[in-house]
Amino acid sequence: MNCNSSNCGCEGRAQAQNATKTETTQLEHATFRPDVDIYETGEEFVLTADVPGARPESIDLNVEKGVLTLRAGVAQRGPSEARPVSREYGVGGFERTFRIGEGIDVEQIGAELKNGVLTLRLPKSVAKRGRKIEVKAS
Amino acid sequence: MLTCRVPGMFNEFAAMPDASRMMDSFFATTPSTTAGRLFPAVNVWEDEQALYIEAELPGYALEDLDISTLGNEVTIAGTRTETAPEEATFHRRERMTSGASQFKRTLRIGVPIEVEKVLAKLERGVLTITLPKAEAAKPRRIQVKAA
Repeated sequence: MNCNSSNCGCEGRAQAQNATKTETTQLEHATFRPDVDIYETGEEFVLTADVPGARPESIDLNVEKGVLTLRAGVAQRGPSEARPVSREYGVGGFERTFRIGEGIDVEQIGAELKNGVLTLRLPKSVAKRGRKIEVKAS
Repeated sequence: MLTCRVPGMFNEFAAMPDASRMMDSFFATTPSTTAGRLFPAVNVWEDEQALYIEAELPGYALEDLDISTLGNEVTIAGTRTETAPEEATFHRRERMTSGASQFKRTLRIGVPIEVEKVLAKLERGVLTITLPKAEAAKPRRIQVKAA
């Protein structure tokens, strides 16, 4: 789970949750590692995480000692009186940590939740942004 | 409650179509249209009134989805495109619905349903489809009168 870019500040660290979406037992209150995409542009890193079922108030983002921790609580759901007929996935909260480099302006990290997808924007600190070098003809 | 006092009296009922059994066998044998992995995964519940299908579709909006019923089948299909800036360099790409994604999955329902009353709801990336059972499929209590 290592980033292959030398200047990438995001090193995702797979938290061993010992729970996968295909397990059929011990599903209640399990915690899952969300699938993520991470891309980088000249100005920022953008991290998108699938957290279906999560409400904005259940999202907890924390940056400490260069580690970004993403937690999303998810309430149990489904018709309470009905009988389960088929169960292909478990429902539970999400948690995952990422190591972020010093090049990220932590104060400016933005988060948005839409349709069960959490998007984090991690702007690079000004010093780390790509600079255009002007070449002047002598 | 009507109790059967004669052993074996309702034995033929055991051979009647049972929603759960039919769905289980269907799920076990039908290949998905998404290579390698069933998408979306579904959870199914049943009570006397309806069947309930739930699927996680993070990123999808209702207008990206096409839910249809035909006979005793329900099909969930979706298409959407997620765009990243042209100059973006991807370091991770794990999400099933990343970039341009489309899927289609058909589920066979073991009981007759009221097609006009099927309800679909998409909330926080979770799709729930309620399939009310046709009257004929609902259990009926039989009044037993004393002779």
